[in-house]
Amino acid sequence: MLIAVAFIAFALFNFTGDPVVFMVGQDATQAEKDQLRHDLGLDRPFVVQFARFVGRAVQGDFGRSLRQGRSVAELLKERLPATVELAVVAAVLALVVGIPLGIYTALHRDSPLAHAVMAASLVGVSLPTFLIGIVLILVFAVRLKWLPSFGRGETVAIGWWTTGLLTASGRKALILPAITLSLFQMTLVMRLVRAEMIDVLKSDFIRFARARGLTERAIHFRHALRNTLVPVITITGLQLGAIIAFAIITETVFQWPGMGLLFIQAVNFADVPVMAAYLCLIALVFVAINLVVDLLYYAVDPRLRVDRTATAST
Amino acid sequence: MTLLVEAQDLARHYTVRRGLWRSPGTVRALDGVSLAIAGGTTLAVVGESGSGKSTLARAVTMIEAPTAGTLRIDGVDVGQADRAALARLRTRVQMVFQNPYASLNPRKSIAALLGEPLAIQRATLSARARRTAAREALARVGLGSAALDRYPHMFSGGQRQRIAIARALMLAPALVVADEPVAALDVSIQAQVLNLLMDLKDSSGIAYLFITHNLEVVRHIADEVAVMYFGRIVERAAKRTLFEAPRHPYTQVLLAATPTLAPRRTPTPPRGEPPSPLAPPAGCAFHGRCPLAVDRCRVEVPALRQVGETWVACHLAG
Amino acid sequence: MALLDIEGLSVAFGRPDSPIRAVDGVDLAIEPGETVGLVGESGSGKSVTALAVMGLVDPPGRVVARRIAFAGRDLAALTPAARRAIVGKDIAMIFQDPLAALDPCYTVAFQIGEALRRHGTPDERRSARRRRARALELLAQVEIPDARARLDAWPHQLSGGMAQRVMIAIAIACKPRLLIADEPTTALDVTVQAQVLELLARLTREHGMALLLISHDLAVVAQSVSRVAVLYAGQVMEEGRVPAIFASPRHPYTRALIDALPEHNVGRARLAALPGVVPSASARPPGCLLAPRCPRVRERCRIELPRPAHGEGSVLRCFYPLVPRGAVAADMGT
Ligand SMILES: Nc1ncnc2c1ncn2[C@@H]1O[C@H](COP(=O)(O)OP(=O)(O)OP(=O)(O)O)[C@@H](O)[C@H]1O
Ligand SMILES: Nc1ncnc2c1ncn2[C@@H]1O[C@H](COP(=O)(O)OP(=O)(O)OP(=O)(O)O)[C@@H](O)[C@H]1O
Ligand code: SF4
Ligand SMILES: [Mg+2]
Ligand SMILES: [Mg+2]
Repeated sequence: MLIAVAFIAFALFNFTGDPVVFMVGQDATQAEKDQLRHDLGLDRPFVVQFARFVGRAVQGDFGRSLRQGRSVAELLKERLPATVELAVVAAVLALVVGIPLGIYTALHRDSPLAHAVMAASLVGVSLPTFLIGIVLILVFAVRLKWLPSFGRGETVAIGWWTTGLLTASGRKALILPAITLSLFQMTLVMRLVRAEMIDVLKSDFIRFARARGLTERAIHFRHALRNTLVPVITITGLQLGAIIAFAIITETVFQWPGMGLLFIQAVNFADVPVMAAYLCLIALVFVAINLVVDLLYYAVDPRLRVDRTATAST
Repeated sequence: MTLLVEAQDLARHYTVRRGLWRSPGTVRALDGVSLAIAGGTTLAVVGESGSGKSTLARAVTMIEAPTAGTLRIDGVDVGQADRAALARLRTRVQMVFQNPYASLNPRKSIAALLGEPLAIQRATLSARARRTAAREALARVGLGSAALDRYPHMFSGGQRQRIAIARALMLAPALVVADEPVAALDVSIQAQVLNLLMDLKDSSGIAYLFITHNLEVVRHIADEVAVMYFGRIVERAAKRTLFEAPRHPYTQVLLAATPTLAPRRTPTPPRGEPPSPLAPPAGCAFHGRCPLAVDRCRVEVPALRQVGETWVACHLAG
Repeated sequence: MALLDIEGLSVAFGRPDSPIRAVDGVDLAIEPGETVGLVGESGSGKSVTALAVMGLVDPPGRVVARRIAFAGRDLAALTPAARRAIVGKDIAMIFQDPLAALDPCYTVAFQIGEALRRHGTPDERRSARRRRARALELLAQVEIPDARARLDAWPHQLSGGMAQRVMIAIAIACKPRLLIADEPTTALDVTVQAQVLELLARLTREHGMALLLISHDLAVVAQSVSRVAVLYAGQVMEEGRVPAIFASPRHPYTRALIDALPEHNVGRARLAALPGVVPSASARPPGCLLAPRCPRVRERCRIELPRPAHGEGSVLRCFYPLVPRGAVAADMGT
């Protein structure tokens, strides 16, 4: 699957405009262009280019950025912390707010508050991310001037990792982008938890639990919630990948110096190596998350742990 | 006279995956089953859940090819038949399923549902002729032509099962394979459907392969009975013989365990539960639960052999 | 005094202006230690009756009753918390699909222990060791082979019959005085069904526990209880002792149910089928609910609803009942 993404990414960008033109400008001589093309290896057959690309990518070498002339791997490494921090904070926010809201709206389906939350969540699902971002900037940055509207604030370096979480301005700068990015996921998690929980509450084992006279709390949290979380884990796990991918828009709106912004800049420039590397990395993240989700699933759902029929025989 | 259906040593094995860390297992859903059905007769197949009844039904209706053995329909070997012959054979055998709610496409009108088999198998027939045929089939199952333009959800469970039977009749089959056709129905509705099936048999000489787990239903409708256990036929006999003198211990246990209205408590209920299909016991599959089992039962698989009027697979029968 | 005493129980679903009457004026009394059967076709209100006793009918269902009393206490008057203290302890209930009724995320021992921690003796509530010991005891009591190994099994590792035994073990953990079993064997094979019925019979015998056995299968009920109520479209049509009620039923519906059984038609080509279907909840006939299908119907049945007539251990809701037959078992099948 990774190879496939690499191939598509590579092929796509190979046919989407000539980077050489971008680099040297329309009026360079043909000789100049050819020279550059040869230097970059762009005059080789497509297959050779691809093989070289994959071979190097495996070693973490994605070539050089056509625009900045720096190593792509280094560029990505520099931008990675910003994106990861943003995505993780957004995901945690989505879960921490989304799951309790989902539980609440499932348990108190007819309360006015639940109705209000559901109505609000519709807005969250349907509004495009950039619009939410812009509205937040308008309100909190431009009008109220509480929070910065762009950038990452001050960061602290820990080894090659840079974090904004340790400085006040870094934390402040993170708030708006994180909310923007998480809003969609939050409503998704909430609606998922709600739907799943309502379903679980109708199941036979909940009815049996009630017939045993267990307390409401034990029924809701010990039995219903645990069973609700089984499918929720899968979807939210997969959503984490989506968050990283969605970060492109948020990063652009907030000028967040992450990989998404790097990618958008690369697109404007037809900077093939950067684009291809970014896509490969995203694919890698998806695969890794899938694996983690599977393992988590394994831990939560006992049905996957032991084989049924082999132990059922007497 | 050629028999309508003749199965020799039919087998159907499934490979099932067992998680990441274990090698796949084999389920012998059907294991060396031989049977014969003459035209116009009813063979009832009884057995517990998982004994392979539905798998047998799928093999006989040619929905699923057996992994071994031969199946002859009208004397034609299905495994060797060419496409044209197969297509013809398929019209001879039709199926009725257990769940009348799931087996009818809810988005199609009854006329469309009934016309479907004709549209596929007799493409030359006009739409008008298909409708007429559908009306006739409905009449045969006791439903008026008003039903033609309605949809499945407008009918009760019993009526839906009638419609499913009507659909099976559209191609004038010689054999209807009915997989638990009344298991999902209430007693009073069950009686209506069983009566219908018996009437059809009398009026058009249809043969049935009737699958059920209910011995009382068998007692009512069967000419011959095959008792399945764990993918094998353990006893096969004419109905009368089987009920009056059951020879296999499993058949005896089954008869004793079937509740009746008459106050006849089973003194000792049968022991144990059916074994796991992935870990089949050695020897006779029933030995763990059999009140008579001897050492030989634990090692040697008993073959189906004739004892008196009965075919039975038990070392001790006779 | 009756252990459970239900009078005029009605349960309706749907909108108040067009109610779906699932249960319609059911009276039922169960003495301590008595075994009673509730039979009826699908949708006749058997499960809803049981759930109403347990206080488990969810909105929009509406429960109305003149009286639902358990051991002299009016259940309807209790607070939900006080009711939960009785439910699961003194009244226990088991369900049709045993595999679905156990929480897939917890082990057998945990789910038995849960009931003990809630309703058990002070000793059991305190000590996890004590609970585990009791769980083992219970598994042995419901005849689960290799009980010790099953303690830590997950529900999906159990066969249907074994899961039903575990559910029974959970239900009887706190020594209930009444066990309501809703189609406990419908999902099981005949041989396993016989085992589970035998187990229930033994438990009622040994613990003096009363049993309300719900089933659509007349034969299962006939084998297992001493008194039967026949439900049709939410009403009790007839109630009487076993085997008299099956040997000589007085209500045409009971008669029809018995006659429709293949068992009862040995040697006959056709079964005596009751024509038509159960009236839908929204289109109930004004008079006797059976009138459109009844072989004995007369004009009066179509206009007027027959009231239940209480006799010696029997109830009958019919204007023109069958004449009781003298001999009890003369008519029974083989
Ligand atoms: N497609 C399949 N893949 C793997 N195993 C299968 C498959 N179909 C059936 N089996 C197994 O084959 C065995 C026989 O199944 P079958 O459905 O024929 O039983 P049955 O007698 O019809 O049972 P029931 O009364 O429950 O319908 C079972 O153990 C079943 O799990
Ligand atoms: N939650 C509900 N909402 C609406 N109608 C309901 C609900 N629960 C039950 N009913 C209706 O109440 C009637 C009685 O249902 P009940 O489940 O008691 O039948 P039953 O006798 O147990 O049938 P079965 O043999 O199918 O279990 C049915 O018509 C059913 O549709
Ligand atoms: S072969 Fe043996 S074990 Fe099997 S049924 Fe016969 S006697 Fe019992
Ligand atoms: Mg089947
Ligand atoms: Mg029910």
